[in-house]
Amino acid sequence: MADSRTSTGSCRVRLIGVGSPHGDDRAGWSVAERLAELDPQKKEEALPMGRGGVSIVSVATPIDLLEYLDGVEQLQVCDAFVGDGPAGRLYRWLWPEAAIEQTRFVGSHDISLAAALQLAESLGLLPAQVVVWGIDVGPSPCCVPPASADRFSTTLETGIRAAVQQIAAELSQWARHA
Amino acid sequence: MTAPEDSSSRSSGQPPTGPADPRDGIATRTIRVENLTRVEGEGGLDIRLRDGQLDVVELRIFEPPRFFEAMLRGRPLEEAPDITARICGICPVAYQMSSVHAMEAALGITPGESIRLLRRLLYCGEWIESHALHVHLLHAPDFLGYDGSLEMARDFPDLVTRGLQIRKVGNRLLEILGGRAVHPINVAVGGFFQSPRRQPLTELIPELERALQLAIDATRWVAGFDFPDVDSAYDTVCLFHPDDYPLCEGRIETSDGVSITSDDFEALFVERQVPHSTAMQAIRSDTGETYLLGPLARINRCREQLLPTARRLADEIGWVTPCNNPFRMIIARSLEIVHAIEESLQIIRRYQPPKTPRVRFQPRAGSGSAATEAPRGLLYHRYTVNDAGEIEHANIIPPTSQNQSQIERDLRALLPAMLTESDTVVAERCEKLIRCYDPCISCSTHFLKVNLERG
Repeated sequence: MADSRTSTGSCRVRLIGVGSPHGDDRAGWSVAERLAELDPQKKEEALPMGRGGVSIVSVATPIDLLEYLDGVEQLQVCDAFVGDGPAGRLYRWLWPEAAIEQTRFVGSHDISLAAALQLAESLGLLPAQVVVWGIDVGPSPCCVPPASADRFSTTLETGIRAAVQQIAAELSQWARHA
Repeated sequence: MTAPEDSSSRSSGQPPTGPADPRDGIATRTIRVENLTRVEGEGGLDIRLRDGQLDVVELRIFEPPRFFEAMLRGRPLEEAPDITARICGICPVAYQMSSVHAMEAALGITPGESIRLLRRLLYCGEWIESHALHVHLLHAPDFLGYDGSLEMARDFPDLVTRGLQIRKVGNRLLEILGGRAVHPINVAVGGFFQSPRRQPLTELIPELERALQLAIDATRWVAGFDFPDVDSAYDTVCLFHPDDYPLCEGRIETSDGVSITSDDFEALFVERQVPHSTAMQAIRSDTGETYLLGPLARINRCREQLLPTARRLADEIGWVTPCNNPFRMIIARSLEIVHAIEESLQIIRRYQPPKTPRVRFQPRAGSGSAATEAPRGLLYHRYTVNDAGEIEHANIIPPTSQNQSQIERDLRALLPAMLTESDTVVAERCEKLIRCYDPCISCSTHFLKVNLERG
């Protein structure tokens, strides 16, 4: 399911944030949203968005990412997972890597991230290069949004910022060499 | 095609089997499914036999409770649709629909026909998305001898792709109508925050037409599966309206002839706590019996309200009403996909954006209830609000909570005939039965009643 604020048209690199509105599980969406909002006027930040470049979407369940693989050369996925902590620690995995299957990504909805990627591979939909960014939300994530503002803990917020920075740097580097 | 009854490679937990209870000399056998697979949320199953007789059948739901009703108290009534939508990542629209209808009942307002149709269209999107996922990726593997959709996709990629294509059109509807597809945010008490434009909807017509054909093919496909011969003599419950297939309107009807409005829901159905589940279970208060919700209940009662293509398809595949075989729920679900796509096309072809997207209201103290048909069955909400427009009380009863005790009853009925089988086979067949219900465990654990005793 696409976030309507982002481009979902033809692109070479797709960044997909997986998550939900539930507490720390929003981390994947938050990274996607912040990447989409990087200021195009700032040269060091600007991503080559749109046709032939980068497209960013948010999905609620991993199975939804199968809808956004047409013509994509590189897939980047960002999702939160329940780990040993500390909250905010960022991991970068290249698919297929055993750690992706062993990691407990937040949310138990139907088909896991690893299963969705395997299914995409079985159906011949997966691009050659798939990068999975995992954000550790610690062993006891906040599953329910606070009644007031939906804010992350300080440590998780730091991790989300780091993810935005690193993914942006990687996408920019890719654009320069494309 | 055959239903594999004896495949032994399932992921069910290996159960410990005890020869005897040393305390009383009675032989016991315990079969445990640690984690149910291909269901939404976290649950398990315990079966215990004593001296060869079935003693305990417990659908264990151990997902943590989430206290949504408590969270709603004191919040502005306008927030109910978005807060309750967060109960479920699979069926957020169902929560939005039940909450807005209950709030509007409390406020004494009735949005007009165009808003009613838009709400039906949004709900159709969710039904298509949810049902297509369950039929093709979660349930069909059971009938074709696969551990899951991944294994099935290796041999039948076209069948899995078909499910994904049908699902995609449901997601597109959610995106256009909901403001965004990920947990839609356009639903408001009184209507919608913004009227959806006509163009994106009409542009979807060719895709919907293709999806309709795919859904028809899929229904013919699942109707050809081999089904165990089961008759569960269900007491079924669903909404009934003479003019429409049930989504948001109608009276709550039971198969034994009781007909009530949602205001009487809590008199006819009662929730109870059981030690093995963090979710409440429900039974009929008048009979003390379990009851069945969902696609089978709806098709049994409302077959005549299906739109023509779905109705003719039901005739063509030889659907017999009433059907009390839980394994055939996959056919009922497939017919409902056809209906939902057909109704979506019908609404879009006539759609003109409403001049005012929502009815304005002044907060007033009151209480209101509503039941709508989530993909998995009747979803009940009741709210009490005060003069300031704050929620004072909320009660939410999701379909999986209500179906839980019916699932246990089905298991009890089916288990005696399979007890000579190995533990692995028994566990695997039980899982298949549970999956027929497409249970949403995350929904069912939205609430836990806490009794505090003070000395």
